[in-house]
Amino acid sequence: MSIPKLLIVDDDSGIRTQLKWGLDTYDVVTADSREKAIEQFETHRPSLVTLDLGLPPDVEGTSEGFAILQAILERAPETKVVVVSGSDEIVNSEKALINGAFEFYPKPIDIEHLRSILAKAYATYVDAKTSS
Amino acid sequence: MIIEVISFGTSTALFLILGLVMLTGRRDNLPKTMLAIAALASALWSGTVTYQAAFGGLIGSTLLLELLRSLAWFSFLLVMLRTAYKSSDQVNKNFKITFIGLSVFIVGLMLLALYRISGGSLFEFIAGNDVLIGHLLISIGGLVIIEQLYRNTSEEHRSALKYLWIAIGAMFAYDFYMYSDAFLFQRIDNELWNARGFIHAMVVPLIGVAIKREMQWSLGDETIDIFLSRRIVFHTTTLLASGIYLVFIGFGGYYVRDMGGDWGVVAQATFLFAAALVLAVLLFSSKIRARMKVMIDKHFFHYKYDYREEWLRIIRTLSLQGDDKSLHERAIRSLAQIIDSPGGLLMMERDNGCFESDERWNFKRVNIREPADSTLSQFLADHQFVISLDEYDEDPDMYTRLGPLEIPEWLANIKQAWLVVPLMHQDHLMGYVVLLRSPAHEHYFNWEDSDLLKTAGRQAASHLAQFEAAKALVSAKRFEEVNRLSAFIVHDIKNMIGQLSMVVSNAAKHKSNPMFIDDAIVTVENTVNKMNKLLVRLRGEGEADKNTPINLCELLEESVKACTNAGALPIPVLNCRNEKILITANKDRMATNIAHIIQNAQDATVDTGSITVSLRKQKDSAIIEITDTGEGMDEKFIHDRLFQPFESTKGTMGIGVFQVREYVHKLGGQLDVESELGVGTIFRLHIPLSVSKDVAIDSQIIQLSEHGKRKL
Repeated sequence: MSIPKLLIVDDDSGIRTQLKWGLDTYDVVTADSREKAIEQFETHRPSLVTLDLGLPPDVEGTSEGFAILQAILERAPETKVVVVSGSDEIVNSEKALINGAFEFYPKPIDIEHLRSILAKAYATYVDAKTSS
Repeated sequence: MIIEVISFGTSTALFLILGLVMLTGRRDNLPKTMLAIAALASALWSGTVTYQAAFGGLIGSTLLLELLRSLAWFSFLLVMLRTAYKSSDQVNKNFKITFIGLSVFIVGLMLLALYRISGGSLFEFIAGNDVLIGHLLISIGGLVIIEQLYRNTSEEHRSALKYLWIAIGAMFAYDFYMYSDAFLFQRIDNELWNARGFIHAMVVPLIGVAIKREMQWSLGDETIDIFLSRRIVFHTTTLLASGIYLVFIGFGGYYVRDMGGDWGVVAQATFLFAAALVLAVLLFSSKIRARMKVMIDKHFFHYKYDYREEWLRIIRTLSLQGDDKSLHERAIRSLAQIIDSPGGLLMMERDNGCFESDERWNFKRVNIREPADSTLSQFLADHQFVISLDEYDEDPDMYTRLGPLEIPEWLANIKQAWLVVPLMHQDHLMGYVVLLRSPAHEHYFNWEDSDLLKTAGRQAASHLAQFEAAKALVSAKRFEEVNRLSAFIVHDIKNMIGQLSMVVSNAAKHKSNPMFIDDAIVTVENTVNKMNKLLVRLRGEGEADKNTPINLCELLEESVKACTNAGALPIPVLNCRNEKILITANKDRMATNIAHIIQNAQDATVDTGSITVSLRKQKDSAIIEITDTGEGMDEKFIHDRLFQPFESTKGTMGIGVFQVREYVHKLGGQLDVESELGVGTIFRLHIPLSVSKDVAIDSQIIQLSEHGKRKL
């Protein structure tokens, strides 16, 4: 069985680096902006994505993150996107789930917890693939 | 004698002509008839004086005819004044009483004159002080009415009527001068008397000019527009009373000197000085002024207030700029001055469900709390009545039949408390003002005071509400800033905790891997940097809002590229003309705002449409235009909803355009929107240029279609 591909989208280099080490059971690629994220997605077609909402230039908002979510799901609706955000406002979590995210995970990141969510997400992804 | 004959003969001829001319044409006009009568009376009197100067005799007739002439002119002036009022029984009655009073006064003078006739010369006779004072009073009275008529004639009638007032005023003024001189020197000056005929003759042409200018003026229109200002009536009455007082004092002073022997002059000077002092004290007494105002309001006018003037004064007091007093104090003053109340206390509604003492004006410092559910508060809120504590004491049923009302102890204990005026804002009681007793008004408080105070209270309340709203908005903005800062701090702390906890948890597995150790050190270093930045921001030295010079063309390139790479259509086209245009702003926020408008344009435009982003310089501003060929917006939407926060047609938070405009305003710029349904929209940002020198570069048009003209 091939190693599942995971795209980590976060503008914080420390988070990207440590997620990469912590999620070393995945084939990890990273991106720090909308442009880079879409480029990486186009190139690698990962089955899983962890997505931070606050990205430049709208680091204090969520517009960039939601634009990426929409772009990814338009390209590959089967992709499981786990939104990992510092914003724990309920409106953002609802919006993420309505727009097709697999899960909304509020920061701070507990790597064990995130691992289990990703495992569940990948299992769902595989199930969907198998059934289709 | 010759001079006197020529002088009065001229006067006779001219007044006769005037009188006869006035009698021609329509005669159904009272002012016109009265003017004719006055002119003919003057002609008759002048003619008699001429005859007396030429042939002697007729002294008694001359004296009586002069007084009759005065009565005729007064009658004309009163008829003119009457036209300023709408006809009513009360007004007719008042004018009738005035006319009768005046007639009685002049006829009395006539009888006095007859009584004094004892075969002596004319001049010696008039020098008798009693009749002389009568003539002086007639002159003063005439001048006062003329002043009233002249000042209060509306602009449209003034151009014609002013000649009439000047002419008649000049006659009275000359008479006043002549009789004052006679009073002072106890004889009538021959030259002044002889000139009197010429003087009176001279005014006839002026009256003619007035008639010629506008034949239809007051004579043909009984609804002539004459406004009587209470303020002017007040000042005129004061002036008239002062004048009469001074005449009598002068008269008294003369007798004091006459009877004082060696002390005569000293006694006269002392008497006059004391009398002048008394007059000054009376004129400066606010109590007497207030009483006089009430007296004038009561007896001279239909309504107690000159509402226009009151309203202007209320607004002026409320919106006084540069006054160091607070709006709350000015609100009390604006109400108090209506009824000459010497002070007041403002009670304002608080969040704790009570009305608390807020501000005071000429009122002792107090700390009062009145529950919002007390009968007083409820009564004011429900009935919006001005409560007169005197009325309540006399007849509580007057109020309690409307609803329960008990005067609280704190209010009953304020001995000088008189009225409680509710401050209603949109049918909500936001406070009330307790006004102190006004000696001049307390016995004459009626529905007019109550209505005016109630309405003024509403006006004051809306000013106070606006002030409170502005204050709340400032607080909300501060809270928003704090919220934003704390959200930022929480976000960073979460990231830092996440990084460090992941370093720890990852170390369990990878601690022996040198590459992990290197990355862990970089991560910790990154965290330390973040912490330092956070500290800087917490100290208020943050760079988040720091403005730097930005090359707008470069920034637009980046924004357009980002929007293009995001894959949405249509792809925006950037048009940066020939210059390096620098503005001073926060680069990230500026980029976010531009990106937001482009995304909006993309959302509103079909894929085959077009979006152009252009930049140019205009005077001291950079103009960014984002033009789309989308569905457009109607005027109502732009006006009512586009810039409203939390308004959205896309199911988002809807604060985008609002935020863009707020930021552009913060930079000192403007955001304009032009849109037409079915045609498209132009968002135009005007942003002040940086002070630093701009460097022109070649025009460039960057077509970005090659980056992403594909359907993603």
